[in-house]
Amino acid sequence: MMNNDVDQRLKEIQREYLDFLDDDEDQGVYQQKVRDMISENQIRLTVNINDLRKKNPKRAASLLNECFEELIAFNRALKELVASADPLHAKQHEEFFVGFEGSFGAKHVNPRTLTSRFLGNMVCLEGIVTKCSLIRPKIVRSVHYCPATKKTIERKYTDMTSLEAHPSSAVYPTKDEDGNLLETEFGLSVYKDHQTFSIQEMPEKAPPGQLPRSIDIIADNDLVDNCKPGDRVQVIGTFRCLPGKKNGYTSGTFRTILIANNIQLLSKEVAPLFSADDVAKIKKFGRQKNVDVFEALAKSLAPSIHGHEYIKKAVLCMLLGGTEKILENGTRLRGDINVLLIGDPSVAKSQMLRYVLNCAPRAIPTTGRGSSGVGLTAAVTTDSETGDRRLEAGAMVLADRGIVCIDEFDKMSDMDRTAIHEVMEQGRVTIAKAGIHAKLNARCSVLAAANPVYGRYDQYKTPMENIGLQDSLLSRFDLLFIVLDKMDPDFDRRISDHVLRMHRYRSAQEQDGDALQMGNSVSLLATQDPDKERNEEQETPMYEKYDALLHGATRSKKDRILSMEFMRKYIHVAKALKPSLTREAAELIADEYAKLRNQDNLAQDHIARTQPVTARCLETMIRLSTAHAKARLSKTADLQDAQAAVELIQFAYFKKVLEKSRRRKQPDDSEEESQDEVEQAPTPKRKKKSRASKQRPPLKEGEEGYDPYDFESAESTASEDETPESLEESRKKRRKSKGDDDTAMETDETATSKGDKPKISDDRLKAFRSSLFNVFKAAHAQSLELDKVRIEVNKDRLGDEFKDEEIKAAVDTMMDANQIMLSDNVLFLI
Amino acid sequence: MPGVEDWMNCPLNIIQNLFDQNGQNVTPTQVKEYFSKKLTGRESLAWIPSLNDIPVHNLRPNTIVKYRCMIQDMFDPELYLGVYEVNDVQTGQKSLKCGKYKDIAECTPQQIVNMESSENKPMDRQTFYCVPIPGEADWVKLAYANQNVSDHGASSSQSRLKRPLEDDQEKRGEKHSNNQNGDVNMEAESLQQNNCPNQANGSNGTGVRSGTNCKPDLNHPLPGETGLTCLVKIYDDVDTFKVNDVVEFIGILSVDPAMAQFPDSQEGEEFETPEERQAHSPPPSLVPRLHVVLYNKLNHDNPLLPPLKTDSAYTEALSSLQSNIVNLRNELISVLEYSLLGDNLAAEYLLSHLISYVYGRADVMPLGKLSLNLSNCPNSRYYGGLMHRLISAILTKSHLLPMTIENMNTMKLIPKKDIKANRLESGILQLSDNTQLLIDETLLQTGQLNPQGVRNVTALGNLITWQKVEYDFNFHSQPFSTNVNVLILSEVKSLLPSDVQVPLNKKLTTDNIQEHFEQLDSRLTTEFLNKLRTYITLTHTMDYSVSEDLQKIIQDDFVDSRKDNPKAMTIDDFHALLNLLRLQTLSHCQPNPTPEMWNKVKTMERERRERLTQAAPTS
Repeated sequence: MMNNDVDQRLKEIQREYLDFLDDDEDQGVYQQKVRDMISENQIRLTVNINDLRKKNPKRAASLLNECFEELIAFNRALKELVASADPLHAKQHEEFFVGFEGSFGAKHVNPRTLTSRFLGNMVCLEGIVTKCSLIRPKIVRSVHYCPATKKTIERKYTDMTSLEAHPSSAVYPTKDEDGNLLETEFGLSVYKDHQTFSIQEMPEKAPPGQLPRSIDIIADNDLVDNCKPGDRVQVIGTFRCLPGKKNGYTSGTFRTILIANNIQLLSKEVAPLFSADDVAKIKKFGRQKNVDVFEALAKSLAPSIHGHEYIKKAVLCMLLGGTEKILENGTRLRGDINVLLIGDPSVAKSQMLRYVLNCAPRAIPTTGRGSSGVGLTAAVTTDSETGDRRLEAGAMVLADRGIVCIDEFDKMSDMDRTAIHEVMEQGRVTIAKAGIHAKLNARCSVLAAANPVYGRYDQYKTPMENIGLQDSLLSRFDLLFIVLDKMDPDFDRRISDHVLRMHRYRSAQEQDGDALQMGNSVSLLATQDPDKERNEEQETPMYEKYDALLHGATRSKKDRILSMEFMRKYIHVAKALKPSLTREAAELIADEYAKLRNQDNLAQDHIARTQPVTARCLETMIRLSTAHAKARLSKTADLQDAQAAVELIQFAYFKKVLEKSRRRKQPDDSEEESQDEVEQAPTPKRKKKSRASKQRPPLKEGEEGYDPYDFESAESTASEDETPESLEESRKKRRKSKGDDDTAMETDETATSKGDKPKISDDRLKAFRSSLFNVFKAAHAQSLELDKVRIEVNKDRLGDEFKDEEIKAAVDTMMDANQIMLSDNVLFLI
Repeated sequence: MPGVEDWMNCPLNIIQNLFDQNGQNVTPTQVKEYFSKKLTGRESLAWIPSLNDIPVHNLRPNTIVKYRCMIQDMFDPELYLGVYEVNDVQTGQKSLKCGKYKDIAECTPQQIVNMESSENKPMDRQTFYCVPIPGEADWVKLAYANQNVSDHGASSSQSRLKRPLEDDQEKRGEKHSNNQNGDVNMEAESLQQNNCPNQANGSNGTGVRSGTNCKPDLNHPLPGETGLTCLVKIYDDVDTFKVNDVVEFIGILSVDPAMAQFPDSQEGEEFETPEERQAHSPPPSLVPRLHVVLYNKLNHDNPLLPPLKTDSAYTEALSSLQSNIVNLRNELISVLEYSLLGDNLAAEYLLSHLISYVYGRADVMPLGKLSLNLSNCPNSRYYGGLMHRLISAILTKSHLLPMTIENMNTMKLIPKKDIKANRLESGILQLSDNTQLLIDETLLQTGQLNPQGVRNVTALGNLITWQKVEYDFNFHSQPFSTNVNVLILSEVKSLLPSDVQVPLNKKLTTDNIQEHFEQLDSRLTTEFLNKLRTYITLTHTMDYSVSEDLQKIIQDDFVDSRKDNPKAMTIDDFHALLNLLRLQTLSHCQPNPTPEMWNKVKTMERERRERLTQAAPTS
């Protein structure tokens, strides 16, 4: 009687499920899905629990809570539907299964939160697969033939892992009731695939100081072999316990397992979860007019490290990355930005690396001492037992699409460093060893830190000597920074304040050992489509909380520090952009590159470059400007991006070399002094200068683009003791290469003078300028008297001589552009 | 104490009573309340036998015991029957029983457990694998053992017997000989064979577990360490425990031989590998189970002080210490000075080092640690051992790591998850907080490090610099914060990083370093040592703050010294100075540093640097 009732109820449930699947009159989604399933000859239908919830909330609720009964009914309903749609297919397969996906709400758990409360429930579990058993056949139905009675016997087997409530006897019959021997018909027996595997809590979700937990999963039929150790998966299944009857006594303990009905691989990228509010905030932040977004972001990077703003900017660029291009012929132009920090011990290099490790979505740390070249790239190893050859991925391969942080880069042997040449430029490891040919992707950015050759940076030697690495390797680094311990009382005071505060401060709640909460808020509550129905998770604060004790009173409201979580989200959004280079930016970069190349020959003992300028440098500038554009959330890399890139390059590529005092030349040359004057009494700090050049409104951009000399002035300011001879030299060279630059000049020029006040037409100005330069060239002089210039300029022009006011206007324009300078009726060439 | 016996010997009955009274429901809080009422004060705790001192076979099962240990591994949660129904075979009478605090759903011979009953309630509990505190000094063990008022005649006499032996060994400077601990082990082994002959036979006969012998690896973090490990079952506040926590558990001992695994049993085979079974359910005679009713997290492992800072005895100890700190400190410095061959400066640094610990972290940087590298150490293979002996007499937890090529290449330093057995294989660096690690680098010869060796050296470096150990979980590694003091003895500057390097300036010369140290023994009376032990532990818990005025002075100093030459004081130097200031102040038992102290610290650093520059050309 009872049984009848239960059967009746089951039938009822089955009918409801059939109604749900048979949605022809509605949208026909599941009808179509079932048809697809049949045509693909599969036996599992994936149902979104959200759909079921919409249509039949009661069933959805009881499916989650008393899942065994419901699943049986659902599976039967599916079989019924399949049988009506395609009887042949239904006959081929014994059973059909339903898998689930969708939002599980409170039933979305990880191995830590899966408790006895969930017994008998359907849950969605996330974790890393740690071990997989072999796939074994499991008998479902055995067929036996008895030669004596000529009868066949069939027997079905179920165990605790199947949905049916009562496991059958596991005894395999060898004799029938009368004791006649039976023969097993192996060909007629039915088996199913069976596998168990364990998944372990994901490391980023385990609370600090606690070991991750794991749970066993059972996968049958088509679900076997869906994952391998190391995969991150999401398993939907029923949680149940197996009685622990051991050795005849009843232990009070059980073994718990999850019987899977759907397994999904999670991507290795851990994407942060965005709320609508976050997106709005990110947009708002990116579009701010009054604040330089790039600066603000850079400042918030590693706030515990003081100063080093350019390095922070570079690291920010690295986190954002440039745009990768794959040409038609398969050549890849990398978008990854590589940065090398060289400097004295104890200048927070390692700390910077450490920060990047914590902040970047995928970053792998290694040390130069601890890793060999193959350890970084990939190695072929031989299995000691089987003798099989295996390919083992090194750090750089593992960090594909991420960042590799190499500390103590200088401690690596040259051999090993050579091994990463290919990886850094091509983003790929080629292996041709021991019969294995393989190409592995290793598209990663490299952030390396090294000490100078002599342990400490020697001010009297050139940067190249100090760095002591091969040019071929150096050229692969986009930016190379020399980090030195500088003297600056103000700066020192701030540092000491900072350090003191750190030593004094101790928050009441935070015990030692409570690790930093980083990236723990990444948690999805649905198997897919988090945007649709996501429980509003905690709001991401945009700024760090201001703590007077920790941060000191020095911080004004304006330069607040962005919170780490916001930074991550921002970078994640910005990284996905693919800005394209605008024409102006491209031109500026081209100009700048030409100049850098020229200065290549300008090696002297006062200012020297830190790394060779090769064609790669051009790519570097493009990468940096696209990265800068990304920071602004801009779709195009404009002039300002190019300028920022150039500024970074300028900072990173040149390094002043001190001259030993005894060798110092006496400034006997009067010309040098006048030169100084012309150079507008250079400011001692290049930072100020570069800032000044940056503050120029973009209206004048044409100007900057126009005249290459302008930037040179910035350089020479930095190199205050540059000798006039060398300047002269470089200038001569510049003039030789002027032809190349002319085209660039022309295009820009129209833009320049559009809004300008002078009463000279553009054509006339151009004509004047070229004649003026010719005059200077002919005279081989730096300065000429204005009268003389007037005569010379008009010498070859009959009929259209430059009038006085025209000349005056032209000179004014050119002075504004910092090309020449007029003083006491003498024209100086700058 | 007649009342004591009852709850101590039959705790399960009491729990069953509580269960019946509360309508078939008993929460861990109620049990906790009941037992903590019985256990007010340290004195009553002393009545409880301790698993650390008394061999398991001398304890009665299902009685209350205590156990002082470190959590080495955390197993997956275990599902058990919180409430189960038993049916009387003859009368058919049903009754409900509480399944908490026991491993097996038991019943009298006339009853059977009804597994199918709807009254049964499954519940979770958490199992920790605990080991005796790694590196715990012998005096700590002895002092704890002596505190116990134990009436287990046989066991205590036995433990008495062992002590002198131990002391002798200590005298010889041989710390890690296993003889004494071996006894316990052999006992356990023989016991195990008596208790479950089936098992021994089974494994020999079938040879199912080829390669693994009958006795499972007990997973002690430090090699050569033995002692009783225990599976501790926790019923509440599970999340407050962290791996490597040091805890005193008070609970019900369970050693039912029925829990021993039989290798020929096939059940559960599908889900458990043999290795896993062996790791998770070792024979109870070897690894007993402890069902926790109460626990105390130990902030320090010093038997001479009460565990809580609020205790009146604690404040008394502090004030008595403060009254004669000057003498005590001088005495200690002179002992250290003697051991460092007459180097006063190094002794000051060593003292600062000994009382240092990580008190906080800024971003990724640990604050408060002062790892010390004593270079120019006497080239004697005994020196490291002798130093360790001295230090272990003062500190509660310490370990000597001889850094040889062979050790580096073969030793397991980093804990690693064994996926097959589903447990965390321990490594030497799995140490509880405030453990002193002494690395003897004088033994290091030139040679080739294998990959394991490189990993080990890197791990040591990371431990020293960041106070983190990256546990290996095969597919990923996970950093765990540690709080381990590292002292490196070396002949020249160490291979490993350190916060401070002090080259020894040997003033005393001695031909026989062992004799030299023996002369110290007469000075180190137990009374004196106890004072020192209290002193070191007390410094760890003292408050510290820097006054505004002094901050100003310090800042000005920093800026001034950098004015002329930025190399004169780097930021790291500044960190080290502030740290040293803190430690020196605390070593005088004072909460606030004074300008004089600041000057003293600066002088110390200056002297040290001078030595370094002197040492540099010669090396």
